[in-house]
Amino acid sequence: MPIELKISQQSNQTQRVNPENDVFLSIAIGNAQIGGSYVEDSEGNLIVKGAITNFNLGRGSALVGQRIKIFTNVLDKNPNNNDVIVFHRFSNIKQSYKYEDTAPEKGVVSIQVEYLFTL
Amino acid sequence: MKHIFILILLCFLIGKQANAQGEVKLSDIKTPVSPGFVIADVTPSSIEKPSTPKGVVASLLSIKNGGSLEVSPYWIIKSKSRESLLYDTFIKRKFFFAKTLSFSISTFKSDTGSYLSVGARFRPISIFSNGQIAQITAKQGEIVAELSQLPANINLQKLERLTQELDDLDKQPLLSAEIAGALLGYSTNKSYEGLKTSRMGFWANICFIPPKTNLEVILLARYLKNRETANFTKEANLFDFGTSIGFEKDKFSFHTEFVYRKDNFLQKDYHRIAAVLNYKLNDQIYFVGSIGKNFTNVNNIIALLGINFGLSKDQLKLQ
Repeated sequence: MPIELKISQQSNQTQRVNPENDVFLSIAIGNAQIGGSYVEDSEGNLIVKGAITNFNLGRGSALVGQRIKIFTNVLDKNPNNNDVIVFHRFSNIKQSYKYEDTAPEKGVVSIQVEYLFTL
Repeated sequence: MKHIFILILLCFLIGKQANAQGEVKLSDIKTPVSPGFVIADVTPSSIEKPSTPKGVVASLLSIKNGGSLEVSPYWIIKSKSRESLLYDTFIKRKFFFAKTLSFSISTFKSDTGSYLSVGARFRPISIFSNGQIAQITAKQGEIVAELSQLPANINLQKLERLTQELDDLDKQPLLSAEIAGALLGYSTNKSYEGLKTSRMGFWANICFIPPKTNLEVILLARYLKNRETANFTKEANLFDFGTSIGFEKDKFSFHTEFVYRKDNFLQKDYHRIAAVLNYKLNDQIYFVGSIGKNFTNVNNIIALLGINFGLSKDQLKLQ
């Protein structure tokens, strides 16, 4: 029997950017769990996927008014608890978002967040 | 009759649940033996392998005779350290304290009285070889790749297989050590007022698992101090040194152990030699048999056969 997949309720965030600098994205998975992410634009085109560290999303000025959607899928690998803690970090105007949920036992939880970039 | 009914019911319920789950290794279902049981000599084996830390673990000695509850505070208390703990950082770390520290309380009964023990343990060392780290990292990478997709496109069956393969890799460090201690109280009248400390002790186990083998070698050093307790212990200062060699394959695990005991109070020495066989019946129940010679010079035959309920796969997890 395959492992269980839980879809978390989607969050929406507004991320301010400095138009003169590039915007970098990093995603970290805490609590000794394992996860991967899929990032797409508002038309559903893939921007980047995998373990994402300091990925350059582009110039701030080009991103203003744009939306990206991040799917971070986390496997419950920790034998101690099912807690899932995900950090999405933007470096342009430094901001970190923390998302918490619980995964099914040895299953996967998908955390989905849409970001709108503004000045 | 009542106990037989409960046993049958439990087997039926557990069997039904187990059929709905994937294949589980014998080592995954064996609950870590609580220090409270180890100090009281009520475990089939005298030398226990260093255990993987767990948030909350309940284990039964038997349905009738008692059980234990073990808690690892690091994994149940929310902290910044745990929030930012990455899987690969955890695996590559060699020395531990808080992350592997656990406390336990155990109770059990005998024909002559009741016992209550408290214990603590931690695993200060857990070292994977460079080759093992490379294998774990590669398998982690495969899992991350599978998870880096739109949720509808994740192949859950493949993910389950990869997870099992990673479990096989990251639960068997090349070298690990555990330090534990416990205090055992004994009461003849089943009341806390009558509880007397009868034994205290601390011990260290070092486990070596040669890569790509099913073998494990464990070394033990232990100190036990007995106080004179009616019908249970006589005054003693015991130093134990022992070794265990084990083998695990599929549903079977087998190990032999030898422990040399020096009693500094009575100026006597003893030894224990035993063989322990485990057989996994299903994902949560395994048979255990033990045969050999115990420390004492009389009534020293070890011949145990029983059923253990491995609760660790579905251990209590705090949400």
